[in-house]
Amino acid sequence: MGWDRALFRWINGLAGHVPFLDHLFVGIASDYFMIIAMCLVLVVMWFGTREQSQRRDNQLAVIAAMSSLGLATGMVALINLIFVKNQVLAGTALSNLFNRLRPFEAEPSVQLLFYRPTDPSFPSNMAAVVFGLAIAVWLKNRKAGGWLLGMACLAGFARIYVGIHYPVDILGGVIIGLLGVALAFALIKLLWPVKRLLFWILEKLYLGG
Amino acid sequence: MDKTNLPAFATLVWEYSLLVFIAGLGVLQVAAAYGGFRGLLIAPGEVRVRPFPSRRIFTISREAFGGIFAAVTITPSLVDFFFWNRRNETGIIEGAEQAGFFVLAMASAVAFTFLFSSLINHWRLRRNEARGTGLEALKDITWAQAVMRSLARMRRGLG
Repeated sequence: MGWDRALFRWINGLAGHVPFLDHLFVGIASDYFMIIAMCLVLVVMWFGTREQSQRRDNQLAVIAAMSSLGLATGMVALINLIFVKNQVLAGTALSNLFNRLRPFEAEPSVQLLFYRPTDPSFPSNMAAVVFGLAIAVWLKNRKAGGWLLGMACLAGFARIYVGIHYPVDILGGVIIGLLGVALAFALIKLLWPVKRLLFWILEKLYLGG
Repeated sequence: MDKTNLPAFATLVWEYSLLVFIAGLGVLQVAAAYGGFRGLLIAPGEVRVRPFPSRRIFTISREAFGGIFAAVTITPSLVDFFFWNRRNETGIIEGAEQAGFFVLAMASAVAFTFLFSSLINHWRLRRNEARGTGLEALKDITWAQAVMRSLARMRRGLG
């Protein structure tokens, strides 16, 4: 995909000119920083709402977000197991996509500001997780969700900037995140007695509601 | 991270969990302050301070105190996570492990906050009546008081 590589080269080409930006995006691309910051926002949503009905909505959003986070991670692990470890459909376009080399392995001119991850480039696990989490919240709370989506976009951009993902990898992560959200809400709807029981227990323990 | 090097891995896990725990304490205080949960606050009312050598007394609202406490606890933790990959280049606690340790550390922060705030707010809030159910009750009473009253109601119901 020509546009993908062109966009990658443009974004990664910004690296190495302004040291402050390089340090900033390396920190944002970190395996821990953004995801922990976003999870802390979820804790604020759980406890930090004055109005009880809004708080219940927020708590449902947090449960959906945590479920979609788990489901998105699981989907990426499953994809890696099927297409990378077991080489199912080897030689097909789909398999080639899931076994895609990282930019720093495929292109000699990449400005690599990060350590060298050893798993395939597509899809971005980080993008799947942060977008899954942000979209789940956005569906229930536009304001908090908007902030989280902004943080997710920044994380996705940073992973390209530091040279470890192509834009399509991030897009793949977003799609998996979306699937995770759809699955999480479907499960919540399907397992409504479990959801009611969980909220009842949390309320009786003074931890929710 | 070479998982055969268990002491080094354990050190990273300990550092990760401690930082999440500390950030969790701050986030819970700011959330409790803005949610109006007096039973969860470690500074339930206004805090008055007289910075030495000044003679002026400054009054800090509980929301402001929650914000200051959060800034003091969350900022160092997030800064550490910001630089984590620089210090431990491939010092990875993998995704699923990270989720597990995060949940454990955050649950510890919640448990600590609920117990500690119950201890320090007990006398001040002991005559209050809870006006709501679930978390809403913690706007008026502490978590321990809420649980004890719940148990007492259950006992009366059984008796």
